[in-house]
Amino acid sequence: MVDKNRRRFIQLGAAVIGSTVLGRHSRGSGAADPPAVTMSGTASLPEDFRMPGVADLPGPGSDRDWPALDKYAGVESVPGMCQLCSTICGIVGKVKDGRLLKIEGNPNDPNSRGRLCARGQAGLNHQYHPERLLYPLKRVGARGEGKWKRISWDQALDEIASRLKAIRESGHPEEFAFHQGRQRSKDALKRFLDAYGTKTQLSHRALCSGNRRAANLTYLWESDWDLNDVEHSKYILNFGSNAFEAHQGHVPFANRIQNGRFVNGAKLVTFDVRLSNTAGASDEWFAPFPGTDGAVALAMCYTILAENLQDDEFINTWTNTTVDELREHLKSNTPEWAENVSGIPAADIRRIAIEFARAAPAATTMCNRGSSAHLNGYYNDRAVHLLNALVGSVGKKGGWCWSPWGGVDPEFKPPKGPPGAKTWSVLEDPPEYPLSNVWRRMKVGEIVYLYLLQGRAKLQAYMTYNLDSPLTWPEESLTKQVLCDENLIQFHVCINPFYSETAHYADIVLPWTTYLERWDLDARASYNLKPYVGLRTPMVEPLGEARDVRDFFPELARRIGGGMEKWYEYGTTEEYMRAWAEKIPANQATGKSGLDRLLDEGAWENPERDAFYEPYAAELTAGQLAEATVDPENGILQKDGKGIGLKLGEKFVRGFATPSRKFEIRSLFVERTGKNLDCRELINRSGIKASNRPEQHAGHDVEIDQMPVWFQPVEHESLADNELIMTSFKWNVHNHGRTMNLKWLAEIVHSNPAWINPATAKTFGIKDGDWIELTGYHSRMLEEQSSHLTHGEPDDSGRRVSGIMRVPVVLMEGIHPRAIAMSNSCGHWQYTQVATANNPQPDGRLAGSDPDTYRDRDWEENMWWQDDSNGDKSKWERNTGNGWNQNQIMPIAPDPVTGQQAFHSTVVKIRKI
Amino acid sequence: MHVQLDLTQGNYIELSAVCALLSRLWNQELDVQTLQRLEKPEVAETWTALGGSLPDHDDATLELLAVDYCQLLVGPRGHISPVQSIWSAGRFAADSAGTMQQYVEMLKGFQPCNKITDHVAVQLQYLGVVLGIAAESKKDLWQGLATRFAAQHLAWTHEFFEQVAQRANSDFYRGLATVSQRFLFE
Repeated sequence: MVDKNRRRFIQLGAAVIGSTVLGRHSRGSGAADPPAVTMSGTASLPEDFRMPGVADLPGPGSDRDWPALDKYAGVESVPGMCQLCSTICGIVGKVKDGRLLKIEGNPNDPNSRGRLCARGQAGLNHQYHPERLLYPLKRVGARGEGKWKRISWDQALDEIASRLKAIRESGHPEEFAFHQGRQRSKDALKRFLDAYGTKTQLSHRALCSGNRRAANLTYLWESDWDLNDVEHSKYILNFGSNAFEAHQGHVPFANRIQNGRFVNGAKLVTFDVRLSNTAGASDEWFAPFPGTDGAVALAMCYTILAENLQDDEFINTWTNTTVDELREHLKSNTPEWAENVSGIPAADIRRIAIEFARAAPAATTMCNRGSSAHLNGYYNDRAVHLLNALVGSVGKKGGWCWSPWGGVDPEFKPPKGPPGAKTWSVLEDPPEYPLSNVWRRMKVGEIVYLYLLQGRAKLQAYMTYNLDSPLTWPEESLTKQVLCDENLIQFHVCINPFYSETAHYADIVLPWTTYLERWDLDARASYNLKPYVGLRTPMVEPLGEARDVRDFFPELARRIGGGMEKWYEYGTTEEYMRAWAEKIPANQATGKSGLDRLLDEGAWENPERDAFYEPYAAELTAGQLAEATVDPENGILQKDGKGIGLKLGEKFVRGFATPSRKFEIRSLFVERTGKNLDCRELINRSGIKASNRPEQHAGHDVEIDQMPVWFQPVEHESLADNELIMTSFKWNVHNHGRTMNLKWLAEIVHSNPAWINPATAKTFGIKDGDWIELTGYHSRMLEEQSSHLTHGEPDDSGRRVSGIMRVPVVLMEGIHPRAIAMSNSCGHWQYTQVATANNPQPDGRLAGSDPDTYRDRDWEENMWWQDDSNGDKSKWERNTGNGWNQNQIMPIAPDPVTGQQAFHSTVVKIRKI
Repeated sequence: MHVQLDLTQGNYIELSAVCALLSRLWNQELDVQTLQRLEKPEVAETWTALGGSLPDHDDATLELLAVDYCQLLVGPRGHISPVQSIWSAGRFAADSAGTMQQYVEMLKGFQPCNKITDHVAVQLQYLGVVLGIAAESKKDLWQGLATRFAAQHLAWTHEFFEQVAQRANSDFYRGLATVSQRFLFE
């Protein structure tokens, strides 16, 4: 420091002290005289003093940041659960000096068994991302302008509480909507929303798995999730699931599929319009015409009956149809008929059906969005599941199984919460979709913004949580329009760990903790067919001022008052978790029980429970039978007005938890529910909680067939030459909207040119790398059946356009010639520099980094995908850019039965440009 | 760039106070109370002589400054991170966070002004505290620690201050970067 400067700084220091701007030894908060600070431990420092255990920082000019030899010495292992996809695999964090250094799979997790995918490994990118939100932000410009100021949590909570309190006191609590993406804190959200009194809790389920769940529920009632016992199977018939990359069961499922194949000798056959990594790793792959999975499945059913390979005993005893009825019902679903609609050779359909039946009962189907995300998706999945009933593999070892446990072992209950809210909102329960909320709340998320635009509902406050709707929901432009409109959404609070496309349209943004910084007891439907308990625990302190809802909802409730606060008298979050996990027995080796045991081991599965095989055949105990009555007409056992089982000959068995107490191939319930007829008696016979609301949904009748059938959406019947059917997919390194910001993953996949079959491309004169214009259309079928959805102006041909976008193509043999595929996850425009592939620094380095000391080759040299063409397609280089959001052209298209978004049925027109 | 602040010539109390002032200003948005104190003539004179600037004393200006602070240092996008880990490793909680934590633990009673310990505000606060102690006892020991600490945890700020000075919309934050730069590097 030059003397002149030094003198001035000394003057400044003296003036600061004299004017008490700040006291010396200040802690930075303006306090005049903080407590005296003393040297900890030793009173002197050695001459060669260095910080122990940590590598020296790279000096100027250094281009490597070698880790210290003892980097992992003395690390603490802290269990947790991943949340970078829905599979929630058990993990172990390696923590040192309060920093997370490594994430591994937790071998104690009974479902994931210690496996962890690339996403899970990249959790470190998520945790320590340089653009994480660290402080609450308040909008200062127009909504969507992107202008913010930091505010304190106190101010944020005061402002939010003031708004929510006024809405609550206005008598319309349902006008506060909570809208979640992936969430694993169900108890905490429910507690807050029930205490507040709103049932307007919106989810993304209709974008994901509504049809598969509804098909399962139609057959089973007690579970919406089939758990195919592939590990013990001999034959696995896959309809459109990409389990090796993206299925909700992902790694645990993939692991068991491979065990089934390579340990148990199972064959894997996949039907998928696209050669996914699952299809590619299968023993056989067939590409059916999009949306025809159900036709292929029914033709296989036909073949099994024609070849007399069905399981008569299972069908006649355990289903509510007979072999003869099924033969009659399926008589027109021949393999030749299926070949005609699907393009799959009849001989292959016949051969595979026979192989499948001969492998039974250790044979199972599996399916997912490939079959279900269609306008006929409910029926596709009904047809696929039927195969298992015909061969008697339902509930059998190696067969098509399920469990009633979709979450934490029900023996474990969180501290008592408030009674459920009683409000109703068209956003949460639209009457047009009869099966959307009848058994479970599956919501029809894709209609939310349209209904707001149509004035069918009003939102005074909207709280989004881990949601990126502009990117992940259909009709991006409509979503943005509504989010931006302060008349339609008066107040928007966004809770997220990163600034996202949704946060961009918020009024207040709250920095959320990562899954590595918060508490949950969690579990998902386990392929062990048993429930378990997993622990998500803060491995490290939340970064900056990030907070979890478990931490700030109690504060918010106290500020809103009006009785909400009394539901938060359980103590600290750790105490709440301790009470929840209390029943976990002691580990004999460690002596630890309850939460302490989970903190050691991360997960617990009750060894005394049996896997959920053939539950329907279980005989009822004398206690269960006490005071039960038998209906002589159908053998159904009832107790206290609820079905509990079935009399079969002289035996009293559990049966299925359906109105017939059998596997419901024929469902009177869905037919009656569609017509809004009273279903109380059917519901009582099942013993399962289900909604019966003929009055509330009156005037919105939908025809739902009692039986598994198949139809083709009208727009698929006669595609014009320049039309294709759009499909989407996920890569094994991404989830839908939340991973493209993770550098390790974006480096692997960051863009999504459209896949087109070379034969198709030839007819358009398209070469690899050419650009095309895609025009998306609203569904013709829905224009006829769901006129309430109609919006947008028709074009010259009289069709309504949902959007237009331009993308490059990649020619792939692995796609059906009448399909076009684009992966999702791409096309962010707000979600960090990595996700937007947009680094404003001229030398390619990270904003806010030192070019002398920070030499990150991953960023500087491997961030090679930034697109510098500025929209000039002639300068665009292959594999650069951050891709395109497919939802620019995808129309809002709910399956009329369940409301599942029919992403994969979208007809698009293509034009070479 | 090496830290040029000469810690061998004494005046630790005054230098400590400057550290505390700069720490406060980097850690939080300017508020009315702090501005009032900065406006006191004896402070204002030296502050401006060192390249600092004082804003108008009204709510609208403070609001604009808060917005400038946010876009410069908080984000949510394209900001200049005030955290050493980002500068050294492109992510939070890099080795500099580990060493900072160990420095923090060495000083019993030291309470970082920010949860992110390798935030420039904590580092300036820390240096100020160490200099304050050096003024009272075992000067050589504490001055040595301060020197090592500054070399390890403040050298990175040279480029940081320079970028802030370039990108600030307000004279105040441009001035704060200039004053900070002069304090440590001239």
